Amino acid sequence: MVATNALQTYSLRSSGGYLKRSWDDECVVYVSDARETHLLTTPCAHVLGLLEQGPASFESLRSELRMLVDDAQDQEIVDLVGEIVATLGKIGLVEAREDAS
Amino acid sequence: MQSTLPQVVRGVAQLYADFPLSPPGQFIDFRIKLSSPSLLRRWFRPQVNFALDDTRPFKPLPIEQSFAMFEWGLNWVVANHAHQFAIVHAASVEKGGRALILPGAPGSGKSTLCAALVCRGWRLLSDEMAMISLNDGLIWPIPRPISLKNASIDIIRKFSHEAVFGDVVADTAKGDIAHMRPPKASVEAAKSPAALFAVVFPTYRAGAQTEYIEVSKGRTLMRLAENCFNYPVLGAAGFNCLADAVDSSHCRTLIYSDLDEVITMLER
Repeated sequence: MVATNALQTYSLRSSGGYLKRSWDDECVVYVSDARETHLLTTPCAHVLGLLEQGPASFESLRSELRMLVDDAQDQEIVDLVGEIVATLGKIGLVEAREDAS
Repeated sequence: MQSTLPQVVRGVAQLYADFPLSPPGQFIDFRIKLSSPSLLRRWFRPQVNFALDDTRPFKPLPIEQSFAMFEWGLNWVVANHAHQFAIVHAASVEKGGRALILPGAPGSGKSTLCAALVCRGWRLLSDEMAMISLNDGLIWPIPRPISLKNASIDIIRKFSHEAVFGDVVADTAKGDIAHMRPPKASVEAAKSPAALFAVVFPTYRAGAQTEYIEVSKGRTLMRLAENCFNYPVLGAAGFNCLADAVDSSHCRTLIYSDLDEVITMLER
């Protein structure tokens, strides 16, 4: 379980690995350790793509998703980021650490 | 394969007549035997056992189901050993160099559609298992008898008077079962793989208009993975194989009730 907290930084899990295939707005991942296959929603796939470029804070993920979903309320975006990192953590792709600052 | 049970002997003679016998000394992948469990069981509620080498992976069945047990057992043997392929629970057919995979749960109508296509000149690649090579993504044939259940048996008998059937066996776990002989041309082409053109998920629905609707590649990949017998064994290689297959093919769902209509549509 990956806790969601505005002070946290998220990154891809350091162990294991995954395979990914993307078509249009769909993304399917194969998580090697768990040997499981998952169809990711578009926002999940977008966050995974961001984390593939490097660790990101909750705030930076929130800003990125705000640009994607411009008609949502701020709290909805916060909740969405929380759901996404929890989902990606549950399936074994993402881990969190407390931001030192 | 070894058996003296009359149901098996008759079934093989009827339905595997066009298959070549292996020459003496050729390597044998699987040694299968179908026999009665004991002398007593030949007389009292006679049963049949399936043996692979010296192991018996299944409980005995009533002897009337001997040929069906051979087919089911051979499906199991292939699905549990042929890991140079991603083995999808699907019918597969080919025409004009284009192979279709028809994945579907039991009762979806995939075997009925497969049998009908084959009766109209499509090459049978397989009724039960689409064998996708991990090496090159081609669909390798395993053109064994087509298993039909319940109402489908009469539907195909009426659809094609030339279709050759083995015995109808009643009261199996799947209902009434009969097997249709594969076309000779399909058997003779068993060493020629085919390139995948489309993945089509069929559903028979009585009285329905034919609908042929695009389905997303992501969802197709998920459904192929769910229908792949040996996906848990193959791991990443299986994922890549199925993803490549989806990448290079059209993906559709198909709802049908009229066989002539759906075949005309698929041939367009």
